[in-house]
Amino acid sequence: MTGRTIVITSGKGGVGKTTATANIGTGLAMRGHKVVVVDTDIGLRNLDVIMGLENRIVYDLVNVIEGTCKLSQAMIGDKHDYELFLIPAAQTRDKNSIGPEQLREMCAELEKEFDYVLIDCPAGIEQGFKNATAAAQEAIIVTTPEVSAIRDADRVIGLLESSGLHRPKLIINRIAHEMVKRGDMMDQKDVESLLAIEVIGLVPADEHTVVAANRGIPVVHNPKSSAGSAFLRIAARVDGEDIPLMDLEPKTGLFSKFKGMVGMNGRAYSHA
Amino acid sequence: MRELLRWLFNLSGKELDQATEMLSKDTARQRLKLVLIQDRLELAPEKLEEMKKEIWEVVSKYMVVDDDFMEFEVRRLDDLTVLVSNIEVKDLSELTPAPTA
Repeated sequence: MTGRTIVITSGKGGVGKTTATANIGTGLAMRGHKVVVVDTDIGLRNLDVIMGLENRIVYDLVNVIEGTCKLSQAMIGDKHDYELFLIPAAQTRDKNSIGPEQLREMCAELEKEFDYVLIDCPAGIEQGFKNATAAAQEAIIVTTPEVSAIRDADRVIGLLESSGLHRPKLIINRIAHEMVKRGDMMDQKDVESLLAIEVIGLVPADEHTVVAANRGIPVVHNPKSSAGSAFLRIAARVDGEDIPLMDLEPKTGLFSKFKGMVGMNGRAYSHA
Repeated sequence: MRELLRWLFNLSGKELDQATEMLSKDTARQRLKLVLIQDRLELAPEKLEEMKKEIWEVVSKYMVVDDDFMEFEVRRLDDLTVLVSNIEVKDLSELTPAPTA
């Protein structure tokens, strides 16, 4: 078996890399794949708490790289009935305790056994970023529709291109539909035209994501939530299924449709 | 134009200002467009202005072009990064300007 190693990165911190990694990983496992997620954010690990596995950690990524434990010993099985495993980052070690070649070797080992190896990349573009991206053949960039996140995403796209990771895919996270509607948030088209890469997923801002993080159960386990269904869709698209992007427009009744039509007429006049 | 709009909508000055004010997402997009050009080219803003001016000078040697309308965009085409510029040609009948130019 040769699995695919995909790095999830962003440049800017706090845009949802770890949440995306946990949810895409879980989503792929729910589709019947054998998946391992690797937290490479040494010193600031979080994938373990997002997946609710923080109490099961014995060995970590640095232990594997240094040879203090076997690869299988550092893999923590998910709480649910899927073939999903986590390799946690070391929390008390330095970012420079591993190098790009070592991580690549480890992932090559994992690719023999797993369909998908997902790497949660640390924020920034320093050593941790270089390690994480060197280990992958594909990249997913997470951004939010905000100027700072988009600017950093653009930097990262450039860096990935120059290191040979071509055609990264984009996830636009935390889209607030109401703000987009009134013109206070960039929409998919705006972001797409600025970054000029293929969008693989749109994720609405959804309180369920926060609740899911509180509980340590990724939001894909709740496919009725808008964020949960968005991540399931992304997992399907990563898996090669050709399904449309999420429709962010909430279901509207006849009355609001009528209001919308009147509003459109008003705007048409203002161009005169 | 403002007067016409005001007459059409019978708006007070304040309302008109609000109606014609740019959407904040459009401000964001425009600001980003410029910042991304600078980032991608690793070019300081004053250098970018300098380049713009020089390109304008060169083009205006051969055709009559608008003084203001000149757009730059740095685009990615697969593995290539390309610089695209739009310059408004003002007078097509004067593609070759007077010898004094």
